[in-house]
Amino acid sequence: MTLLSVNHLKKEYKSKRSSQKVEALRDIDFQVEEGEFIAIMGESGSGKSTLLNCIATLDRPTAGQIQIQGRDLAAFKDKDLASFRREHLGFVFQEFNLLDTLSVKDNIYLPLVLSKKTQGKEEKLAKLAIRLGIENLLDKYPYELSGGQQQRVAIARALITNPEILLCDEPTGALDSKNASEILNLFDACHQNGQTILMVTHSPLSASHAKRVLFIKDGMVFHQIYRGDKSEQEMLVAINDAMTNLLGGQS
Amino acid sequence: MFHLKLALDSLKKNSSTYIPFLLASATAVALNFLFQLLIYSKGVKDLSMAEVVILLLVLGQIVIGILSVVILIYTYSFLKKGKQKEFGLYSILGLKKSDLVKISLIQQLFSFFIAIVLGLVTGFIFAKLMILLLIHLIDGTTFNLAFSWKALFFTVLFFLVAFLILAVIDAVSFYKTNTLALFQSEKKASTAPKNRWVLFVIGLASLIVGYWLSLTVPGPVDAILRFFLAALLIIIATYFLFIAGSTLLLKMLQKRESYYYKSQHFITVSNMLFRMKQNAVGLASIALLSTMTLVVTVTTASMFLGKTDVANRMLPRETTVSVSENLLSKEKIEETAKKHHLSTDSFYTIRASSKAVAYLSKDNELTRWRYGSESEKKQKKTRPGERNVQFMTLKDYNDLTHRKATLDKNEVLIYSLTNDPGNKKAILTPTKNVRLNSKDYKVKENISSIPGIPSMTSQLMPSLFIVMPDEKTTEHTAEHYVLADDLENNSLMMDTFYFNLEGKFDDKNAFLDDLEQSLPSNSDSSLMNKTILKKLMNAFYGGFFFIGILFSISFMFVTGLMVYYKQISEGKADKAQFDILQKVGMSKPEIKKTIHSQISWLFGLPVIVSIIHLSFSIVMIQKLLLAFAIPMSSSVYIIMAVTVFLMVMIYLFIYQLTSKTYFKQVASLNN
Repeated sequence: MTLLSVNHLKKEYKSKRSSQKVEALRDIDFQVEEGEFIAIMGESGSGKSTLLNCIATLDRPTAGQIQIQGRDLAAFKDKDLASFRREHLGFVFQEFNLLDTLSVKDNIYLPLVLSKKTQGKEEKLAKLAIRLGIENLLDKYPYELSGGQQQRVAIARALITNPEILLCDEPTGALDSKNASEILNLFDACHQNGQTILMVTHSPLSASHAKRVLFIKDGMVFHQIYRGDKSEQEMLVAINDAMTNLLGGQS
Repeated sequence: MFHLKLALDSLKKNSSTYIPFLLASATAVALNFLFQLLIYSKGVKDLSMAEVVILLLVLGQIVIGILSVVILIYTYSFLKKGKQKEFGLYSILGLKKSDLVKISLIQQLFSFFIAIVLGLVTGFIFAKLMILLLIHLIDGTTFNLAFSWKALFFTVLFFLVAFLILAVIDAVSFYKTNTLALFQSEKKASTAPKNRWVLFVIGLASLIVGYWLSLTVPGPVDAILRFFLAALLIIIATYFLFIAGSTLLLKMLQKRESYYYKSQHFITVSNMLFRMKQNAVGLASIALLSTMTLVVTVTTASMFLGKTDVANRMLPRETTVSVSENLLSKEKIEETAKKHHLSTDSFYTIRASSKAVAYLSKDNELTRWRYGSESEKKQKKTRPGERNVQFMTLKDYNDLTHRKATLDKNEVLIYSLTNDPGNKKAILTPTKNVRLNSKDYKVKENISSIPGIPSMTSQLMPSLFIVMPDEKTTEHTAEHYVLADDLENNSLMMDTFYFNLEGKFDDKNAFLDDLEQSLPSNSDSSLMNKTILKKLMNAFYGGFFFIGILFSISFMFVTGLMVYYKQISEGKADKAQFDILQKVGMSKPEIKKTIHSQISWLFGLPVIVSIIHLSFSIVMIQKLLLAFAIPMSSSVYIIMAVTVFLMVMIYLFIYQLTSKTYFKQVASLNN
């Protein structure tokens, strides 16, 4: 079943200083099936973050359509978007974006509190904490944790609402290789549990964990690779080849 | 040249903190200059009771001076934060620390010149405006306030030193920290506050003791000393409780899950916990400044507005002339008045003994007051016993009141007078028996008022009016109390004439002078005129009120600055947080609501605390007013309500003005 469908998406920005419009996304078109683990790759400025922001309902597209479970995001009013975001989407960011004024436990509870669904929060947290290996950190504050630990907490915060899609923006960008691979393994485990994941990255290693990789260049889907039964290593080679192509500019 | 360019460049880049700093400095200069001008002005020296007013002004100057330096350093700390990053960059680019000090010095001198010029000019204009207000308050016609080089010199010197202090602060921070630390000085993670029980307990204890001291202050004389002690304790308590109490309270709220895990409390409570740690000192300072503004305004305004009532109670008629028996007559006074084109009416006369000081013991015995004797020392320890006493015959009393009172040989009537007519019970008055000149008398009646006799005295010492059965006993008893050397040139009994005078002010003055001249030179006489008294009171209490207004303006100004800087520093810190909240699924209206509830707590708290402080200081204020001969009437509550209302309005205005900067900082919410 198609969970997310992006049709002919276009996004233009008006530059503040001149009247000239900047085209961030020209014509993006792709579908995400339920339970898929998909990575979107591209260089800086290719428009991948804009795409993620549009899917995340943080930004509205200029033209085209985004549907999640058949619902058109454009039809939502601004005030409903926040609750939609809370209930259907989970976010993991490069900079973790945890609130320093909340303890780890409260950071994870945040989306539940905002949606007024605090019933049974302890059991949900207990399960997640074990899966993510953060049982001992719950009473600490984010500034007391290492980067890898903070990202685990951020993932717990994203997953506690059982979102349909987990949206990740460079989730390993601020981590060293050991922590990065641990986080990626966590994503694998989530994926095996049936979680749909959409990850934006420019790291081939991160992308190699996905089942499908989309390449974006100049605001268009340029190429895609299915992992099929390739091993992570083979997938990495394939991705690197595709990237070389992408940068070489031959289509 | 190069240093100059860098110095000015850095100020320009930090204009959002630099301009308020300059304004703060200029205003501080203006206020100090204003006080200096007043201290050296001829107008103040010409005031009646000039020494008192000048003393008050000097005290005010000290307070304003200290406040100015504190404000300068406080506002500069915000500018410094931004500047340090730049200085770090210069340092990376290869400037030596001595170069940085040079740049800082140039900046301080530059700021100094702008602040001095702006401040002196506005200060002088402001002084001229304030003088108009002062003239109005003291009912004067002119007030001589000239430009004074001494005032200028002092102000310039004071601020030169103050700005040099800032340069020294800069230099110290350059030499103490390394380049990288300078560069990164803007980022500093704050940590969760810990419970501080010791501070909390000390704070609570000082609050209780401070409030207790101010509620139980016994008399006006003790009020001033107590006032300082209580103020000190309350200052300590306010700081400690803001620091420790707020953390305790918020942590307690966090523990109550059903309250804490609600979307409207969750973010607010946890944010406040961190916010209070950074802001407790600032908020406590704002609360204390507001309290000071309130107390000073209420006290001085009550003095100023209460004085008419006092004049009316002290003087039942426009003029009171009190002389030794038979020295003056009604005819003589009327004749003299006519000579000065004045007319008299509502004439009446009271005959009573001259006043004497006596000591009332707890068992209702009035003993003679002996200066310098052993018994005086003993009596001083039990100070509340001091009384002014005056004796009157029954016949004179009946003549005055048109009553037909009778007294047995051992009976008396007693009328007591205090400086606080609304609160007579506070003073011990014999009600059943009294022992006078070693003879026991029964108190037949405590008279609540005698028409024609003043209903209050301006003195701290209460007065007793004792009506005795006959002429012989009256004179005999009075003689015992009135000191022998006081009687040398005077008779024991005095005549007091009360009458209204119609005519010009100058004529009244001349009339009183003339009357006084006509009396024997060393006779015991007192001449009082309400119009003249009111003029004196206007000068005295008007001066107080004027200084109170100046203080309030200064305190308000300081409060405004602190609020502004809090807004700036918080806006920056909050921006990142609200971005995150938005991503996690909080809508913009929800975020705005959270911001508002946080801000209204942060702003409401100091005001609420200052109003609580004020209400606990009412008893103290009442006693302080009495020390300045003004009884507290119900009008004080009206004054209090008006003052609180005005302060809240001004505070809200400052808040509105500055919250714009806050929302500008978190601007991403508005697109």
